[in-house]
Amino acid sequence: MKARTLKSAVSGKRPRLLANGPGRKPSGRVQRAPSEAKLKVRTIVVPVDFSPESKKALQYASKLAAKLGSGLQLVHVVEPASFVDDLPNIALLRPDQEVAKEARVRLQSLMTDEVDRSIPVQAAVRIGKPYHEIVSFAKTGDADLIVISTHGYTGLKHALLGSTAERVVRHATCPVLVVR
Amino acid sequence: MKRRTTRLNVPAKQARLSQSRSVKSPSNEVHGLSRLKVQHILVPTDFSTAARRALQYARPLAKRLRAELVLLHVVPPLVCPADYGYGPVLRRVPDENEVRAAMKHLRSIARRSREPSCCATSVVRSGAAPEEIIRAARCLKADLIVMGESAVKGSGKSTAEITIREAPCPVLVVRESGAKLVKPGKARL
Repeated sequence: MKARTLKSAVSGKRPRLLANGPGRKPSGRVQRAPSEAKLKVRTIVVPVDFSPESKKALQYASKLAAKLGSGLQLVHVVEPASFVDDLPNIALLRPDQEVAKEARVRLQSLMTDEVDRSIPVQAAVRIGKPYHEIVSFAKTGDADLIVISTHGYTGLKHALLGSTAERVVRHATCPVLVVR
Repeated sequence: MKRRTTRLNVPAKQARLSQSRSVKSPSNEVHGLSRLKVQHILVPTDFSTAARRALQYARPLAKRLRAELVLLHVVPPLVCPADYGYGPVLRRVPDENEVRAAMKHLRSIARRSREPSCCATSVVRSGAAPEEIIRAARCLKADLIVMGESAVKGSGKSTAEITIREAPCPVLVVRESGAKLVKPGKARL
């Protein structure tokens, strides 16, 4: 509503000279920034760690995708056991491939449950450091947006931004939407 | 990984069927065909390149989501020592000149972004940037904050990071260095 009043204020102030008579364009139209460019959000990357928070982010992303007509790419990152801490007896832990396989199944079910059918979805499982994999996945997949929740399994509720989300915001090359 | 094919013209009935199919999720109305409600998009700006990028991103987004843009600039207050008889205190007063100049600047930006579908309002606040952004988001009931972040990675927390931590709504961070944020050309819909 400001715009309208502003326009009248501006045109009211201006002395009505012959030079800018009826032929003059309305003041707002004259200097158009190159903002006319259309927003292109084709691919939205949604990192998923199966926490309720990440589910929320997925729901938000799917609604956004429905609005913007974009596709979703879910990615789950399996952190290798050796990254978690320097445990000497790795034999106790399950092999990463097995975990990744399981994650793939869970991603599939998440895809069918949470995402509307009209939205094209892809899912991928990566192995590595979460934030790094997310950022590189978005980069290689030419993603236009990453939708991530403030915290998944790391990070205190409400109080903190999870370390992964924070690092993704810092390092991503595309815009990042942080959902809470 | 199977790629699910796009089904474009899903009739509403079929879509509803597909919704009711997933039995156990009570959150059905959250996703699916329910609308994403974004009415106010808050765009804090410090007139930097990063902020300009954020605005470039926010404009078409607001248009697409039929949301109203609210431009915000936070002016640091003037701090002056004062004594009211109960010991020296620091008084913070809004820097009127700066506020006025910022308002003018914001309005000129807002005028540029005026489009039939989205109109931009300008707000200038005085105080510390992250707190005022959050406060503004609260009292405007913003549904989304779109803000820029400069590419310089300092050791401290940037305004965007602090805002993300405390904001009442989702925050979209647009990086200054992002090469392809807004592209001219056809939009897919």
